[in-house]
Amino acid sequence: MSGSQFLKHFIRFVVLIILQVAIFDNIRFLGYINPLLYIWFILGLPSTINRSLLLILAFITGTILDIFSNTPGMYAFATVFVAYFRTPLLKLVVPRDDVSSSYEPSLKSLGFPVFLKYAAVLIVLLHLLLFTLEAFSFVNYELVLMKTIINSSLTLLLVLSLQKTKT
Amino acid sequence: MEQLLRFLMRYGGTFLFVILEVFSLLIVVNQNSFQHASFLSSSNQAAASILNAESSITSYFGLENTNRQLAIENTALQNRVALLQGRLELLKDSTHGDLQIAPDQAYHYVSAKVIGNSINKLQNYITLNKGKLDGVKPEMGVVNDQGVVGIVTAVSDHFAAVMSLLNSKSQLSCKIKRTNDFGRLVWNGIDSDYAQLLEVPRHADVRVGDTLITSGFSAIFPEGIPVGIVTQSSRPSTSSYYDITAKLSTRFRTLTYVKVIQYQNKEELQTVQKEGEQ
Repeated sequence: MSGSQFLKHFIRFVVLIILQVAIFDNIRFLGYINPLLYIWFILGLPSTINRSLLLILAFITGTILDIFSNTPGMYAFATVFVAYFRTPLLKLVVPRDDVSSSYEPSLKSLGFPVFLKYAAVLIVLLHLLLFTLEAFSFVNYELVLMKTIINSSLTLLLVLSLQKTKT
Repeated sequence: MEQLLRFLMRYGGTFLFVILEVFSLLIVVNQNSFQHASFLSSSNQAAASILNAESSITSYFGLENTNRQLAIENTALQNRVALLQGRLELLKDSTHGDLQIAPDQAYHYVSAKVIGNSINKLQNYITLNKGKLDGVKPEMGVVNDQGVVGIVTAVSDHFAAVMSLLNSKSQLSCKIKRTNDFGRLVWNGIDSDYAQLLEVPRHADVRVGDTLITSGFSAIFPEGIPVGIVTQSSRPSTSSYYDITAKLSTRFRTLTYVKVIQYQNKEELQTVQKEGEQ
């Protein structure tokens, strides 16, 4: 990773965590709106990043959010899980000839259909894991599924629109 | 050694993945024992100072509302002072000025500002700007002028994390003011304005509109703090208990100032209760 690239991801990390803690964890509308935009940090890291480094970054991100929302271990578990399946998923959805070269997954580098597939799968996975862990039982599971659907769509929309405005 | 290194190079990612996941899951499963660890909660010094900075900005938005609330509370307190003063004068007259006011006041209140609050999770917590140094300890009750807010779970020197009533793990013993029938108040995670009252027996008389207050059975809340108002009550034929939904009297969306209750005789009460159980 070059210096400017490192700086970009670092700034994104800090900004997304602040946004998540200050705004998205505090939405008081309807009582279950809680999009997890911070995952964009994990989604956008370069494709050739060392896998162990990726997992450790995910763990750190998750733990910081856990501390802010008093949910020991939950964000950490879900984020590490998503980070682990990022690599195989990229191999699966990105056309073959791109695999060896380094790129940062984004709307611009992958194109809309590929990026949508990539981001949607991981975002839904993240919400499902986190809300299930939060409920910690399968009682009332419709509520978890409903929260997953609504908040995944919101997060996906946010990730897509933020990238659109950037390009 | 070389083989081990080669193994780690090849499967290092998966290896680390399993370790991190098992570690996080262990924390999740044992979360009750971590609840009092302040470094893992929002009463953590670093996290709380960020929340504090955030609230110093956002608190301006709710200023008007807060002012109104404080004004109402102020008036109520002034009225009370006036009333009590009147009574005091009356007593003084009748005892020729030799009145001794009872010295022990069992409850003491510490006022605190809410610097972190969520209502959109299943397990919601509130962060306060008062901590150990202000006399706040875990297991203390938190109220505001509207009603019950929650129970302190973790404290650091200057901050405290509070498990809000809007938490699927929270349980509060309360009773119906009119009949004194008591039950356990829990939250099902669906609507932040309503909670459920369990274990009220079928033979009790519960009506829509009844007021719920704290029972005073535990050493956490004194008796008689408002909790909510019954909005729905039914007796399902399959259960020996009522099915009761209550509208909470505390507005969690706009929570700004709260009071932490210190109960001075808490340890004594707990010792007596424990001895009684044996």
